[in-house]
Amino acid sequence: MLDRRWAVAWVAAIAALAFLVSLLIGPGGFGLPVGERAFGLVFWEIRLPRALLGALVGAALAMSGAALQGYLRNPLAEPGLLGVTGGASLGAVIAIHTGAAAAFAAALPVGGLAGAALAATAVLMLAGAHTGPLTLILAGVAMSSVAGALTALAVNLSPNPFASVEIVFWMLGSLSDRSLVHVWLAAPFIVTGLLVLSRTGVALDALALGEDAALNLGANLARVRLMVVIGSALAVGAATAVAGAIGFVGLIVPHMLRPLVGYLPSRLMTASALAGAALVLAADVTLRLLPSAIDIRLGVATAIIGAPFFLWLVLKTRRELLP
Amino acid sequence: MRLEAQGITVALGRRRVLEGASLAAAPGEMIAVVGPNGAGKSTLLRSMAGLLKPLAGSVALGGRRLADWERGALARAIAYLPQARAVHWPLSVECVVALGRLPHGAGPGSLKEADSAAVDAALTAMDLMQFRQRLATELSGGELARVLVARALAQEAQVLLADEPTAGLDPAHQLALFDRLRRIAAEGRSMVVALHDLSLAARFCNRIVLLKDGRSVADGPPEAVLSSDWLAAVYGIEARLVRIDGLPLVVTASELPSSVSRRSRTAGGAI
Repeated sequence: MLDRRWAVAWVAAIAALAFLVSLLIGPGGFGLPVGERAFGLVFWEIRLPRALLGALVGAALAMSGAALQGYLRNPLAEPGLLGVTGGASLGAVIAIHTGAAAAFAAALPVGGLAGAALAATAVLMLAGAHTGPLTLILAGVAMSSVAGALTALAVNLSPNPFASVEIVFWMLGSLSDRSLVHVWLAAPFIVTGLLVLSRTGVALDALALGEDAALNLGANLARVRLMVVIGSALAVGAATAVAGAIGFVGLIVPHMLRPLVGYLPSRLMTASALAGAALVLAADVTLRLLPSAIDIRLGVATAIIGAPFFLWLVLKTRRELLP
Repeated sequence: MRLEAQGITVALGRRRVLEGASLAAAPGEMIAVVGPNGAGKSTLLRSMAGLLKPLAGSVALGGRRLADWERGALARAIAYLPQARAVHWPLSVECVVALGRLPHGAGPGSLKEADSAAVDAALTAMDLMQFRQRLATELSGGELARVLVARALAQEAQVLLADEPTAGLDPAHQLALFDRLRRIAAEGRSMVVALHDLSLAARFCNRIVLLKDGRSVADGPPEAVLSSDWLAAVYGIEARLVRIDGLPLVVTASELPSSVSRRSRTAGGAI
């Protein structure tokens, strides 16, 4: 048990390191720019918002993934399953499509937040009062389909080719050109979401023994479900609203950590938040170091890391299922 | 504390599974709930654990309705062992048993002295000390069953409701488990066990409640409830309770002709 607690401390140290490196590295080279005005500008307007958003977005995605996997008791669950990612994307896409995003910058993240809120409300209402996870998954998949269809419609009907390119690029996910406004918009929701999720740990541990045993151990399953959905919706919705759809983080981070910190959902969630922040920051720093001609989006990078990991997961699961 | 279900009617979906069933468990009692498949044994236990709300009748612990109990206090008072043996993550045996301490404000990784003592006692009682570091998901069915009983024991509740805890256990561990449960009951706690093994019920339980079609049709000491008449009426079998070397044994001779048409609803008795 002791070494597993150290594992969480190690993950925290790595996340802190990634945050520092993110502050220190940029197209301007390593280190902080000299000269008081240049320093202030680059640090406060570019690097700090970017590092803060990277940490927040990574923590939101990975912790929601760990919580959902714990709640659904399914290692293949990921935050996109709730339909909130799709809802946030749709909201942001509508903001671009209508030209609101061009009129004032905050319209895009605000649209994303509104989309996420609507999607989460719809999913909760669709899933109904039943405490089982099945209706929740069905409602989430239905919501994702609706949001996906409408997003495709928006791209299809976009007023000009630039708008459609903008929509597509936005959906690939990125942390570039974000300001402290984005941080102020997203941080309250993400932090609240993470706090709500962190309070579900004990019940998610109890759920490892099935719903009846969890109820007998004092878990309030209806409340836990509400907290998992609302916590994930707040965190992932806000993350998607400011950074676009960044896939695979919520899926793979809990998997990467299980050998280190064990399978207990409560411990996995804290570690996932830290490791998710570290992964997104590391991916973002790596992309920043590429020559500026190669503009690879963050969501594309996480997908390139995540997809082979997913394949490996399939092979590993298959191996474990064989007698 | 006395746990009492009084004339409860419980529906699962549209089907009424219990129709006015009653069962009262006092401290020190070890009670078997027996009856054919689908008679409502599991539903009765789940209702008594507070997991299902009766449409009519009431379940009360210590004179207070379960609905009026605070969740945590109820979890410390009643331990329930579901029939389905689920461990969804590869957790160590020790970790699974430590989950039984959640109602006491502790859990795996945050065990205080009293919690560790309860976990160790439960592991010892279920003969699992040598398994404590093994993964629960890699155990045999019988071993896993013992781990989950240990989880319920670690809860240190006044009442233990166990749904077929012996299914899949070898004879030695069946005997050991029932012996252990009887001793815990003798310390002043209540045990309610749903099971199919009538001989085991007759040997270890001081009371047997017989369920048929959602009703508790007989309730009393083993000799009274496991009579040939009752076994014929409830299971549709010709059987009788005998004693060999002083130990009770229910011997089933044959299925009665009248029961053939409803065979799908009735189970053969145990030997």
